[in-house]
Amino acid sequence: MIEIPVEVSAFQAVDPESADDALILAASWEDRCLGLPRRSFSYRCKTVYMTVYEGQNDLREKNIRELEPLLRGFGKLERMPAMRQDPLGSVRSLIERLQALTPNREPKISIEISTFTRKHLLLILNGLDHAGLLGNCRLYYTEPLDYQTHEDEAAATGISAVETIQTLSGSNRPSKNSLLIMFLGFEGRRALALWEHLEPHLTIAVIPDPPYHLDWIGRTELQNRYLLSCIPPANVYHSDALRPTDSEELLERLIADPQFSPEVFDYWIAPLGTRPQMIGTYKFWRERVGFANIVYASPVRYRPEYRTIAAGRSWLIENTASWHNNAGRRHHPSSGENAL
Amino acid sequence: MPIIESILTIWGVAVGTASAGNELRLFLKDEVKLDAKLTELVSTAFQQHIPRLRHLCLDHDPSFDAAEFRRLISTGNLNIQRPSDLPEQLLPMLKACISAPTALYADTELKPVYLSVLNSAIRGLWKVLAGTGALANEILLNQGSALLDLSLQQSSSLTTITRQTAPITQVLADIQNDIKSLAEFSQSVWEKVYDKLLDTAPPPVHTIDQRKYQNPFLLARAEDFNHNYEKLAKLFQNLPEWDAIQSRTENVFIEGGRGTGKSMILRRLTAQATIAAHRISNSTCGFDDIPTDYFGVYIKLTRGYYDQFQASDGIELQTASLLAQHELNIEIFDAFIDTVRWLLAQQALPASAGQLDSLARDLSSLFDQAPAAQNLDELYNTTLRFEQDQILTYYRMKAFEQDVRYQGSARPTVAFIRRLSQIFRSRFFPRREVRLFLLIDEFESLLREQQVALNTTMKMRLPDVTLKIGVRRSGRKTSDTFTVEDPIQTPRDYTAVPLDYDISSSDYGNLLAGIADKRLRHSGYQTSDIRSYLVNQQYPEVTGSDLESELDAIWRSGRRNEKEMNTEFREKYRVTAVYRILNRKGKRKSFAGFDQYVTLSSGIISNFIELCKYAFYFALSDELPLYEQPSIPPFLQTDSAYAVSQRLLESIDGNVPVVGSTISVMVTDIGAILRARLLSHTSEPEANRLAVTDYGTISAPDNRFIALVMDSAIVWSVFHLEPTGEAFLPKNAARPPHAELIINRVYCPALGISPRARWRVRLNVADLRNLADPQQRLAAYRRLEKSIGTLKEDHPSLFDTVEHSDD
Repeated sequence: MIEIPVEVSAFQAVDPESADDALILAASWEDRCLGLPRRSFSYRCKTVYMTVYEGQNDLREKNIRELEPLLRGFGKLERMPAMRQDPLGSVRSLIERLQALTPNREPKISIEISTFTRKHLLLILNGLDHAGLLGNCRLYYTEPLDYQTHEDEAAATGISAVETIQTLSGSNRPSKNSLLIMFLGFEGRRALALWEHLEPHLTIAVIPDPPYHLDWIGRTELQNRYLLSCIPPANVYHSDALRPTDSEELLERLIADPQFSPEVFDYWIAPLGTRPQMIGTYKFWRERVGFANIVYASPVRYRPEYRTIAAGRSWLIENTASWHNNAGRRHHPSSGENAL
Repeated sequence: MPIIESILTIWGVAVGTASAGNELRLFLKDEVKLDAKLTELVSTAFQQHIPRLRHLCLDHDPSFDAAEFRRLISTGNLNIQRPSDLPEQLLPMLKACISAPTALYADTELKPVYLSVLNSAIRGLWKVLAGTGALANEILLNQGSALLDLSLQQSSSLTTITRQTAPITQVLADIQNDIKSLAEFSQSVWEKVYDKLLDTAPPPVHTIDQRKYQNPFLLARAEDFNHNYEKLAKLFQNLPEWDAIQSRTENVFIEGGRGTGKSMILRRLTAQATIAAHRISNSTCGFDDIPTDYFGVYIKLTRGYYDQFQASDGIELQTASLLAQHELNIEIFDAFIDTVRWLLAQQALPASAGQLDSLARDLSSLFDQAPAAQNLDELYNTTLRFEQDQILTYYRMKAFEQDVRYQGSARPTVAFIRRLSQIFRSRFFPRREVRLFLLIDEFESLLREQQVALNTTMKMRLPDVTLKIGVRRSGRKTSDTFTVEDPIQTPRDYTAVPLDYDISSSDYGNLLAGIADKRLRHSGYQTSDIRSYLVNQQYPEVTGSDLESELDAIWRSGRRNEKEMNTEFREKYRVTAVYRILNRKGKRKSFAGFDQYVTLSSGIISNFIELCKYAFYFALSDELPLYEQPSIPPFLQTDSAYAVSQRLLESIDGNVPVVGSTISVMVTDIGAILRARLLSHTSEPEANRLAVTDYGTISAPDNRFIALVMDSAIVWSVFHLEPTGEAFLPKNAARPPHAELIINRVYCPALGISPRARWRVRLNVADLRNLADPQQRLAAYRRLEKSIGTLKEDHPSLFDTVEHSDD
């Protein structure tokens, strides 16, 4: 078993002896979507599922023109249209196709997570989990090379809604205090808007530490300085920007801490930090289905970008074969799912 | 090096100028009167800080020798390179000018106070210097004109005049550039201090001379009280509508924008706060000992949580409706059990073990599919979790098209509440007329079907339960009930209590003063009258002669019925004249005093609290000892008004879902148009009142987007909606046929307009629609800035710079 996260120069098949069943990725205006495909000369899979979000974007179209020949070299290419605000339909369609791909065994899947929207990525993971398709997946992440404030989407203004992500919701009891755990990134205003919307009784902030690059130290704090000044310093935590397990373990520690007891608090988690941190959040959530709510503040408007974001280093950040309880969906001990 | 040289050195080092010309030196000496200005600022700051020195003196207050200070800074030797050098270098001079003959002190105790005085005065000095740009323009214009007159007197040849004046004109231009540069530099120094304060949220406590000073306005939201019922009971200020809201049998919608105090009212109605309030005078009393005829259960709904329970491909409308109602039932029940458990733990609700077992059995019957619960703890910990899990799991699996059967105990909300209230009455108050109050907050978060369920409950007028509902303006999605064509109507089914207060009402002023009074007392302030802190502007903002000549200019610019300007005219246009004079001088309008803050609050309690919070924050950051000297200087009040205004204006984009950016742009556009009008209209300049005569047409299908924009703007109190003309029907609760819109006055400082809505301007829905449409915005703006803003051809337009930057 390789130690992860590990820096990679190319996609590596889940089983070195055979091609993957599927590669899942999203086309984007960011050059990051080209990072691994450009370097993966010998990678092969049966089918590549390339998500393309709605709307016109010239930079994305340019990237798609370069991406498509590369991906066709890996395997059969299928476009997966998706809507940013409501990607569930696209997730259902993806699952259906994956189930048809290997009806008698768990498929071997590589997922390049970098350019999916957070909401979409969480729903993909949850959908695969529900369908028992998440047991043999590798998750890849490509860092942004530049400093940027909008990590996952095109430049966005305002928030369209603060919502509990469908299928990733949990206990909501008016009698309990609300505890909001905010993984912070470089979108200070979005984080502040989400915080002001939810008006939590208690907030815990999580800073990516160490960040992707040493010269980014302090940038999250700078972007979120007003919000952070509203939170007692003792409630500011750190977790590795790149290691999902670090975030998962932090969440475990927090719920075990008597001062944040689930007897007193309902948990709300806002994964606004790095994508690897978000994967860690999902790992935590799936171990306790229905325990916490994952909330999301969608940006309201996407504009064409004039300057793209180049690809930095690429990492294999997770191998789901190593996840606990990986034989399909898991149940919260008190969950009623068993009764269904 | 005297103070003027020091300031020029600091500027020279910062901008890389070797040495300033003598003209600039003379400008600072004769026009700005820098020595005198700094002395005045130090003198004022010294007076404000006297309470920090008083306890160190035996008999008399210390005194400050202003003349000596002025002499020292004009002739003394300061070694200064950077702005940060100023306080330490001026310290010995200040010490030399303060006399405290009977003082018992050590230098180490005095130094922090003296530094506070100097820091405050120096910041004021930078602000004065930042405002010199406009002053320089006026002076230089006068000088240039005088020069031209002189030349004309001496020579009749244009060539000769040009030759004579050219070198002088060049000198004047150079001085103007230097002054402009110094003003910009001074502005940046001042802003650094200001920005540093605004980068962080106000802290709850400031330490001045080892003493802790609380900011009494830090607890702004009901959530901040965090189940502290005693504090809630102590700090709650009765409001004029309190009796109507408390009525035992009346269902009530408490309507108001964000921060109007809905949550505080609902929380104050809870059984917990009721007991806490009575226990202030009788520490052991329980429900049997008090005359209260209601038992309030507070249910805080969660924004953004209920959308997941909508019907979808795999879940039919009827099923979704039932499950969404059951989610609401679960939350009501959760709050009910929690309230009962709290009261039992506080021994405020007498009940024997046998009674409690019977109660638990009865309540358990509400959830017939859940494992039977034997006691309240099991109901709370197990039953509710089971029921919520059933719903969430059903939706989760359906989302991924998995086959699943719902196995919970869903029932319609009306039936659920009916049964719950019967159990409540029979088990707790069989012989007393005590009603169960369901205090539902954030009603607008609910799905339409859930709102219909609660409307139906109101309509049914169940005997043991009354609903008190907090909702934002326009937050009611429907008046329908589950009976077709039978909506809820007022006053038969409910009473609406609007909480958007009239700022001119004395009740509102008294309410705000009362709220402040309780907070100040609670935070240890001896003086609890907020008016003492929010002192009025002591000096006129403009000179009498400037005011008179501006009023005269306004008088002459329009057609007047009277022959001469009278007192009424002066009073009517005084504020406009002040805005115009200040605009020419490049100065801001001041906002100081209780009444000004009441106006800016725009009828929203939280706006007033926010303004006070920042006024205290700025004053305590300036180390003003507010416990001892309850007075916040007008310039700090003004700074806080602008800071709050700017912050709230900027937060529209992020806070209002979906259309926040559109509203933000629209309110800025309309603000710019109204500012142009304020500065140029001859008869009706203060016009923050937009009369939309065809407002009813906003419900037309073509106007769907602008309807969303305006509804959201009203829900989030960016605009206040004042219906005009005939009353409108409950089905169209949010959109009257005619309306007047007022921009929330708290944004007025940032927009540069007067918060007074003296005159109205006409707009129509098409204008609003066009301003909200990126394709139409520019044309609409230009049209409106000419018609409403009365923009003259040579006046710079907001879009002049926008277009330039797009090139």
